[in-house]
Amino acid sequence: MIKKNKNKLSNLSLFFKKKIIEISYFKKAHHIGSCLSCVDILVVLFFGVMKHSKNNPSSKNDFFIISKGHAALAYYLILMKKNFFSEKYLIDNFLVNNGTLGGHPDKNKKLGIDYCSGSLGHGISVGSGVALSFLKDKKKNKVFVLIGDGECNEGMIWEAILFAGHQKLHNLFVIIDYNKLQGFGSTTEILNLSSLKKKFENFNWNILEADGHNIQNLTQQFNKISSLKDKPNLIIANTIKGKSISFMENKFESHYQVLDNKDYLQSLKDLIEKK
Amino acid sequence: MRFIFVKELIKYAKKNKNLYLVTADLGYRAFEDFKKLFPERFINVGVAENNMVGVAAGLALSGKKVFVYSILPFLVFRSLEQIRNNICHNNLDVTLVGAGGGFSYGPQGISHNTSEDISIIRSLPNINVFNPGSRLETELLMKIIYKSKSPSFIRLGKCPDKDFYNKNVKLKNGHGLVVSAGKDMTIFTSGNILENVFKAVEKVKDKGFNIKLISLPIMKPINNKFVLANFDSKKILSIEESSLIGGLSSILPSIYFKKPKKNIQFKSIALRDIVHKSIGSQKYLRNKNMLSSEKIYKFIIKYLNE
Repeated sequence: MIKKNKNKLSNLSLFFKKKIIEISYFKKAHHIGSCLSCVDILVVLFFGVMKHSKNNPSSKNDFFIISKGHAALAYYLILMKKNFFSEKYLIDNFLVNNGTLGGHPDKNKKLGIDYCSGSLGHGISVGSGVALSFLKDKKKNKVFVLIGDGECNEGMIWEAILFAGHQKLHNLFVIIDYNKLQGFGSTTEILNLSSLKKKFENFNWNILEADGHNIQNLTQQFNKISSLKDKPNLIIANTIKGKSISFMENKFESHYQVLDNKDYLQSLKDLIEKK
Repeated sequence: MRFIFVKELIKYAKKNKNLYLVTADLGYRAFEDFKKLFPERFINVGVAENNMVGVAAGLALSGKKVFVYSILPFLVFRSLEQIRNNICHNNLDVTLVGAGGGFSYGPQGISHNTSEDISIIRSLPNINVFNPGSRLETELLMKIIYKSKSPSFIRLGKCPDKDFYNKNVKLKNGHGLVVSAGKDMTIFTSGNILENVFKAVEKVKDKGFNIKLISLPIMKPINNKFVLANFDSKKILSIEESSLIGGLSSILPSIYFKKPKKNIQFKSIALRDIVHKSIGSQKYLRNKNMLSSEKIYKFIIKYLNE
């Protein structure tokens, strides 16, 4: 049963990767590396961990914030697969005049987008406010926030981490897409984050590491961290920026790269080989 | 004014269980009663204004009515993006309560005093901008804020000892309050500088002139009809403890030019577009910036005789 689910999620992940490449190519979109870095995390979250369905009243759903809003396309594809809108709707609205799906997501309940993002560093603060509200109202809903490692340079992130730890927001789950690359190169060179684990521990968080591209491992670690108590939770998902595309993997340039025809064909070839 | 604010807040918190007060570790000797009465709804986030505004957005997203509090410049300038992206853009029920404003913090210097706050906040969409000038104005504004579901900003300076209205005065959102009637000149003012303006106007009246004095504690929205109806003398004067960019000195002419029928003249007393780095008491700094009642009085007399 678990294996079956794992295969299902792996297939979904491959489907999303193909769509990321295809849509980014036709839309001349960038941030491809960022989408490929976090898409496996999103798959596990939305199809394995979170309560998040179009058919639920919003009061029954968990709350999700993609703090690294530039990975919007990966998020939109997930919501598409969750039946919030069709693929045609996505194509017709992504990065077009008067569209609803911008390069960074805007809050839109109908489309399943719980919150807006685009400016880095806000997600944990807002997520903490929602989590605190749920606790005050004795609601069981959880809050999930996906952050990037580059955005951990922002001061607001550390204000929020201190706050969430102090308030013991045990219903808050932050996942860091730890691909170790940011605007100009590696996080180690630009503004060293290590040891991320020790830093969060000192701020009174539960921390587990996971292989951010291994569906089974991610699922296990989410299950494990959900059983821990009394503290906010961080999954350090070790990821590869540009995952699965030969010329993008571990390249910070994949943040900005727009695919030409040659890149596009190579990307498709790479993904076929993955299968 | 913050004591009046807290008194009103406690009154409304008793009515509404979803009302929260979030502070960035300020409000010592002001919020103790609130904290005692509603410990679950008093949240001190520590000295972290950006996070405070983010947390407030999260609380409001899940149905809370949130008041966030700090010394005005720390709240508005430090957290402008948080206010813009999280609160205003999403039209959330969060009220930004800024202590001080203008030269309220006098000798504490440029970090604590503000000239730009009203102008900056007014340019954000969805937000109501409130600048009370007296005890009663504060109470009336709190009533509007309590009923509103949109973002609000309120500037809380020192409260004048006296009030300028009788208890039954009513205030509609977007409108102002007529303090005195007259046809020789119409003066618009906003905020607690009203006290000095009022004194100056009383003195001018003693010289035999009739001055219409209007207080605009609501800086946004402003009802154009209300303002246009009060352009009923040849000389208009605006007086404010705010930057001349984006405050009354910009607002009034822009409303006039929507219907420029009458031949009228505008002048303003406002804070110049400079770094206001002088220190001194609020009285001293007001005087230095043409805002003492004596200087306002002289300005009005000169203007009347032109």
